Amino acid sequence: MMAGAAGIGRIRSFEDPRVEEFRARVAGWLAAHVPAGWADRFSMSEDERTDIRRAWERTLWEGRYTGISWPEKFGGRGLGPIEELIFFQEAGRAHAPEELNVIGKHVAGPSIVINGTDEQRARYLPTILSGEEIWCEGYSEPDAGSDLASVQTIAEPDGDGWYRVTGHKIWTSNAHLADRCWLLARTSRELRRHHNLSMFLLDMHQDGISVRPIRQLTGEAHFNEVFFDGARVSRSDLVGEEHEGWRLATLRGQRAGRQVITGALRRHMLIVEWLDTLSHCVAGRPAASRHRALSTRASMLSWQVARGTDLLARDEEWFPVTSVLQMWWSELMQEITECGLQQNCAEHRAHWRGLHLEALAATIYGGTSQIQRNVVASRVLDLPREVRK
Amino acid sequence: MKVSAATDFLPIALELGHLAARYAEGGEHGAADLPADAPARAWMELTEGGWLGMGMASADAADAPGLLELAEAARAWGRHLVPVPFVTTLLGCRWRGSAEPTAMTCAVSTPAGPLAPFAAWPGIEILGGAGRVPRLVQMPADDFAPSLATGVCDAVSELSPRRSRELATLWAAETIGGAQDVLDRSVAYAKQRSAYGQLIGSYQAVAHLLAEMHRDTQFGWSAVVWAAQGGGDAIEAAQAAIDLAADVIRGGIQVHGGIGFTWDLGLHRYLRHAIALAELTAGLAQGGPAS
Repeated sequence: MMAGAAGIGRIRSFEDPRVEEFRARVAGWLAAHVPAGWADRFSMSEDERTDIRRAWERTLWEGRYTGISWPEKFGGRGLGPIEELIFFQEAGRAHAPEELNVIGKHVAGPSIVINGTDEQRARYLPTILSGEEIWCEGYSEPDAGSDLASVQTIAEPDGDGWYRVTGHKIWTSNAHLADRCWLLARTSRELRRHHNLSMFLLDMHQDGISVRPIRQLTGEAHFNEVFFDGARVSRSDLVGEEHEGWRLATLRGQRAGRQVITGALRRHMLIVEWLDTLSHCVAGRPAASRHRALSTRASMLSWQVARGTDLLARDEEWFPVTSVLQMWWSELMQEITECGLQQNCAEHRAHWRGLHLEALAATIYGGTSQIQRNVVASRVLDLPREVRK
Repeated sequence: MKVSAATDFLPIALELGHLAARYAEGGEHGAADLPADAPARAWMELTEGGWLGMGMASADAADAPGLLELAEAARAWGRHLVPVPFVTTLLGCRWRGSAEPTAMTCAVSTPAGPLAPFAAWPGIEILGGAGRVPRLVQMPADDFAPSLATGVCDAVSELSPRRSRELATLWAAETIGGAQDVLDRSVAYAKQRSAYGQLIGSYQAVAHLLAEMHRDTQFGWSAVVWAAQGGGDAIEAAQAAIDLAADVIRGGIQVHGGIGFTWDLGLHRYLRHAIALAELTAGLAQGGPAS
């Protein structure tokens, strides 16, 4: 395979001097492309923010900073996790907008690369990378949150090569904007748990789907309830085999590690940005020392990520390192916003109020802090299971 | 920059850990119960095995251990509290490019004056610098952390920023080793101790505390790795690692309950060691004379 599109080639070690070369290149590109308007987002409507984020997806694509680690033959750049780490770090420093197509780029896309048919790859990967199609993730249901295997939404065969979908998803981020849904649904009423689910690439623009926004405590509505009442999905949009959905939804091995690391990188980007803002609020005040301590913890996050990435690349025992990432970043995010609030900074008053409320979600989504600790306790420390009466 | 020590170095660090464990065996958990001659015998083995000079050639030889490898060694060493001036001598040899089996230590600024660990070790040299060589004026400084055997000196060692960073890094690595050992023992204890008819590790309140201890040990080690890279805030990273290690050790005492608070169990020795090293590392952060 040819070297990366930018002629840099893949960096396989943090000792490589090209690390700094790549960093400079990314920083230069970001300085020229980050939209100036994003800095004022706290005085914008949600729609205005979404417009900027949508345009940003396009800009990233044009600059070839989307799919940094995707294979070149699928439109990516063929680089690795080290370059991804650098990109997110620099994006944070440059106050770049948050990605909008998180599910497309980090959940559905990578899985289609591995598990999809050639037809699916050709149809979906280009529009995911370009941001033309936004994706949502149809996992959680009212009675299937942490216990995802209990999904009740059912996709039943309906004539030639089609399934008919009935059910109720909840907490579905961006469903109101989404063109496609990465949908986990039952395909059997008889087969046992974990063997009765399938994964679909469902078109959100059709009859039989209603999306009801859930207003969050922030006042905004990023997530939704989604009702399926006879929506149709083609057999050609089934990923992998029928009844293979559990395997596709619960990543194991390397890909699980990569996803956790990507999640941590995205948060690290926000944290770097927030700390930069906080530095203005604490300048010359006693809280400057608090800011230093928080910054140290942010740096430790980046090193923990780097170490996890390195272990993952060498396929050494990485789970003990990656499984503690979310605990760290979620609690750090909340503390930064608390510190921001406490400064009573006139200039950033709305900023910290907004972020503070928003950050409350970080210890809930993707497995609450308590679940995170349970996972470490059972899978890393091998502690005895809780006795349930 | 590196984020993991060379893979082929890890068995070496492990072997050093086994060496330390042999001299920690006399007492179950640390120095105070050791046979009186254990430190001297440990020192002899370190000398004869060439352990003290292992970091000295790193500036020239490509395959010699770098600071991250030495940190890995210090972490393995720190699992056991063997009261010998290993870390300071390891660095002293590295800085001098000499593998002479002379014990070395550094005097660092603290609120109690310049303190040097193991200042009364037979034949030890307290490193100086361009200025005058610190002399021992009072031994022991106090009896808070016997595993460090600090003495009061009449001056501090003049360490360049690079040397201060290296010393802070290895002290932090050593402390993380101790935290890892306390964590492992706490997990083992939670799997065998019952209360109200259940193993205490099955209670989420205990399991979550242990999960946090694991998290902090991991992030503490990441901070050591970071410190070993030589950024401007490396000493701050080392301090953060030591603070996390102390948190882990305190957590371990809590998990053990009443027995954790006893003198004999010895978890307090790790905490004392960590607190004393936190103070010394803070002294490095204040910065000595530039050189």
